[in-house]
Amino acid sequence: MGKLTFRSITAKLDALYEFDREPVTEDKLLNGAKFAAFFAGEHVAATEFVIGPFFVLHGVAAFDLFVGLLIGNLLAVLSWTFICAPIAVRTRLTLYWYLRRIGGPGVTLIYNVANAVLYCILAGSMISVAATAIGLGFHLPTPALTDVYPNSVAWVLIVLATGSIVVLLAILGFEKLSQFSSVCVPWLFIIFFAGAVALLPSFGQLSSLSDFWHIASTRIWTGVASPGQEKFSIWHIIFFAWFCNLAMHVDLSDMATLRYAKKWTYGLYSAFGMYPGHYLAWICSGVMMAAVAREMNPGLMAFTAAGFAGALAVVVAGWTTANPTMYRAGLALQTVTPNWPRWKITLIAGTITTILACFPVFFLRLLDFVALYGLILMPIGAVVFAEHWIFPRLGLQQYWVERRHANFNIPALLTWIITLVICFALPIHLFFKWLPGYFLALVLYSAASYVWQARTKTELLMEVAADGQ
Amino acid sequence: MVSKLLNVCAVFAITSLIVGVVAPLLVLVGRIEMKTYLFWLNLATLVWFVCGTVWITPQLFGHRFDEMTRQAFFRFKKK
Repeated sequence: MGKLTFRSITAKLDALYEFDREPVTEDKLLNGAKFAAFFAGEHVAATEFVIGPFFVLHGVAAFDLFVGLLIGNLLAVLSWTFICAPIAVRTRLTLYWYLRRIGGPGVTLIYNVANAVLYCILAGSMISVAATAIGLGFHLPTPALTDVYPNSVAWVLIVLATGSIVVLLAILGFEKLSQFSSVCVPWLFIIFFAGAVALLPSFGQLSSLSDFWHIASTRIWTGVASPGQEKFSIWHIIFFAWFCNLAMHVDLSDMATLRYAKKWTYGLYSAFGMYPGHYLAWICSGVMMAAVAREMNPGLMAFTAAGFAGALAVVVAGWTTANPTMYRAGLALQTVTPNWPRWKITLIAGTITTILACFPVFFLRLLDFVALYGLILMPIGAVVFAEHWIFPRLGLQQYWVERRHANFNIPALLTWIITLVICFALPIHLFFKWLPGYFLALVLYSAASYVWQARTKTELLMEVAADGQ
Repeated sequence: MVSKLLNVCAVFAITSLIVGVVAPLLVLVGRIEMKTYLFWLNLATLVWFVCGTVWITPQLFGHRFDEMTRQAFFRFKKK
């Protein structure tokens, strides 16, 4: 068994991503339809069964929801188009390799491990959601909205059983499962649509669009929050829809996909994911939830709206989305293990994920977790953006760490830590913290790099002068 | 023969999606009961998962099967 050193870990990390080390060549570029399909498939998941209902519980008004989601999703599409896609198309690299040049292997390693932990929590919440559907068969009471710890032994057993099956299937055939998940996507859209439309008559007479609007604003999105839930305004909705995929657009994870785009305008194809997945599906799941006594139980909600097909949808959506999430977590964790095989890594990531899934807080506080997920990784997105666009304009050297063969980009690391500390201290709602934090990170990183580069240059000059004497 | 099977599966799969859209609309306009809608939706789900899997991911059924469906009319990725 080889000794684990910083150098050996980063070498393994590099080897893991070796296949996409080279920039994408002209002949490998993909057409727009591929991107439309990719985004449409990526943004309908188990979490959609939870997010839409939470908006209902948080007392969002109908106008605020419909308009807020429209604006928020537009901002997300524009973030893909104007922030992520241009860098992806210019570099043709994944975020991993581009960050490697900017932040050095040390920062990249920390970023990967942080990402792995966040992925495990996300996959865990998806397993919890799936467990609510499986629990229906056992008359399992779902945890209350305020629960942090498991509320019954039965809940733990169901989650452990669900998680074990998900992990086992991921070990046995991750690739086949990934292929199978493409079969599930069109059907999931149908379940969201069918469930909501079929339950609409349960709210009352519905014969025109004005009837629908009356029902929407008085029976579904009433503007009154459930007891114990914070009231959300249109701003909460706009910001949530915008940052819910922050890791992908502003934090630049989707460089991995958009580097295959012929033009940066292909970022606009993200609208094919946003509007069906984060508009239609959230609205539909909200309708279903309001029709089922406003109880946060995705399994029961889907079962009432679409029968066994609905319950199956919750399980399948949870399973197929937890699968790639666990895979990504496994990839990141693989680097810090002594050459463990793929199955062992998946088992470890899956076990962590399943244990986390037992704690209902992760799926019952999903909105907050999604906000934290984007916020924690946000400063790195700002670092890459600043290095790519701002440095040449300020006359700063790009890829200073790579030129100096350094392991850590100290300004990047400092920016990451200081930005997060300030963001958490800011006296504003969690949903709004990332935006001032992003601009702060841009300024901090540019300023810190200016000082660092000037200091390093002075030290080099002094060394040369000393050698000359 | 295998190509024909894929084409038949594609037609059934597309039909099941159409059923999934039409059935709730019929509930909305009061033409069918919730119970009837659930029956059709569950049936459509079953058909989708059987036929849709063959249609969209023939590679799941082995390399030979995948190769034999390359020329099917409804095949997603043709050689």
